[in-house]
Amino acid sequence: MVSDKRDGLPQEFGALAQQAAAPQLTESALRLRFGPRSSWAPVPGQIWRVTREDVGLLVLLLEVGADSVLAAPISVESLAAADTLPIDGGGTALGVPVTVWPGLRRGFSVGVLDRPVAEVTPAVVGLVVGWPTRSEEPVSDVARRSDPAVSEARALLEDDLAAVADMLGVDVEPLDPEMTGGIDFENLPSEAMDEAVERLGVPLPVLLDMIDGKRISTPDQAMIMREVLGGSPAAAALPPGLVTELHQPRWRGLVRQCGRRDRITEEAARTALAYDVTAMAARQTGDQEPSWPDRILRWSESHQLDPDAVE
Amino acid sequence: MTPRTGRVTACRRRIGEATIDAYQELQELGHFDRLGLDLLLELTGQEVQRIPVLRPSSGWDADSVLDWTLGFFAERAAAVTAAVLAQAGDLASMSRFLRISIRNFLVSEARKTPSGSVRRKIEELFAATPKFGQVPAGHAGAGRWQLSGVPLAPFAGDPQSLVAAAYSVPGVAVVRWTGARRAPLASDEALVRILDAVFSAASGSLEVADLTWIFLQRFPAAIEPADATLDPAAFDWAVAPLDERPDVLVEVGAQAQEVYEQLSPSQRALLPHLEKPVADHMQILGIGRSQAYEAARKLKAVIGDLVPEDDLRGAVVLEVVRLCVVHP
Repeated sequence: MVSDKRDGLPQEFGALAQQAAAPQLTESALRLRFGPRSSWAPVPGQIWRVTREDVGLLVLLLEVGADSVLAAPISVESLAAADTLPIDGGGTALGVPVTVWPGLRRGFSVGVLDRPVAEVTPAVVGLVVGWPTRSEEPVSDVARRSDPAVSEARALLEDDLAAVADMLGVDVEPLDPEMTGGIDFENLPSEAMDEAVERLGVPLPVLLDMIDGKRISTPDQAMIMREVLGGSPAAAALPPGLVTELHQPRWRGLVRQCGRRDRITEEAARTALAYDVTAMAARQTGDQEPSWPDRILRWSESHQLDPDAVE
Repeated sequence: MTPRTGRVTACRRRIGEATIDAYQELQELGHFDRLGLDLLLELTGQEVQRIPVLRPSSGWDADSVLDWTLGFFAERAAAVTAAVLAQAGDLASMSRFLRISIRNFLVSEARKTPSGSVRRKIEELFAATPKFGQVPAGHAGAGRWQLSGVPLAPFAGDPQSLVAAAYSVPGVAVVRWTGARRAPLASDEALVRILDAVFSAASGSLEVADLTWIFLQRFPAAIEPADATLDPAAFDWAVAPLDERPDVLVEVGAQAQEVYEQLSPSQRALLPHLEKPVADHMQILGIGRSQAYEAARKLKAVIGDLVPEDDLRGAVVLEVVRLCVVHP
């Protein structure tokens, strides 16, 4: 019966959809407003989308450091409670009422920032920064005063924040040299390569490149190869400056492109990219600390990837 | 991290050489369209299965799912359009956000479903019971209800204190509302005793709407967001009526059964494990840490409200736990 109605969009749905349109928030509109990805630099007062896997939410930036930010989450609905700051539809470019949760503010790796979507006034930032922290007010009191819908929204938001904030960083420590060594292919069980492919989550050609040293292994990958194959290529230390640079949101599109290309997670792709850029820079500049943004750009050009590409 | 229950399968179509999904359609147009509707229908069709109180008497079909989908969109179209565009990065995160929004909407609707019948019941009782009267014209709060006597000023205190007064009335047998079975909340005699207790605690006059709200707090529809994330097998036994469970052959304490009937499926699943670490609660309910804390906090509060502080309390709670752990 639905199929009959879906042959044409139900009139009621179409009218509601048109009324609710938000053309100012499409990717193309946001690109016009904030410029290409490579030009993005997080600034206090901006509202950013943060994402990890299938979790996406909005946060208001309060403080921005080199590799981390302090931010408060935002719900796209009006929720009045003792610990919320509702903002009406005219207060942001979202065009609908939103709610800032000052008590849930917390630090994040800058790597979770995905894209800027709006801004608030400095007055709003001031209000949020000056809000009493959660520890000054017992949780149970806050929860008791709220209606169930607000309590449930708060709990869900806290879990989403924890899931996003839990994003793994790139390990800059080299693997213990004693953990590396040659692989004895002659005595390797036939199913070991299959298991290595499965546990590493990479296609066989990528695994072979890693074994041959054409692709640098991360410490975790080297550990798995050691367990499954009885040996692994050595993993090198990563320059902290490059790791910090690769966490900036301006490179996140490039990282995701690499992940899609190699069918690996975003976090694994960032680590692999860091090793690739390190190896390329070492060949080109020796021991001198290079300009990492330049090196990342050169690497992406050589691999025909565009950090500003629309995803 | 995708919430448990259901996967998104369709919601893609070819345009020329390219295939686009519901997220790309929204990004292109700036509003929901056909693929967006398909996605909403798919998600709503999955989520309504966990809210028995909304189930039509003839069962779920495409038309009833479409009705709830349109109902959701009519209320939240602007917010979900802006939210998906602003905070979702792909079809997976769009689907996750919409699933949670639809679930919250359905839970909210389920919680207010009985308000009309509650209001009518209260008005019937007022009409039939001389001990209640209306504040006469010319006095503050004219038209409100109170215990018969000299006109009283409108109640201006904490409404939660009146909910506590409603809970304090002993010996109230409850019949849970479910779908087609719209039984009374309790016997008329018990409801009159509750109204009496509420008016006594208020020492003032109240509107029927206030009393409806108080009754809905005292007799809430047993719907919790975690019902939707509960493991399917656990959900099935938790919603099975006690009188249809062959294992419940012994006579159970009437009080424990009343409490059991007022718990939602996820609360029944959680109760036997309430003293375990929160990691166990997360596993049982299929939700994150803060939501698990919230669910446990609320369940403890509900048990505290429903089981009177007397000598039998420990035995009643144990019996409720037993009902919750017995499998069909």
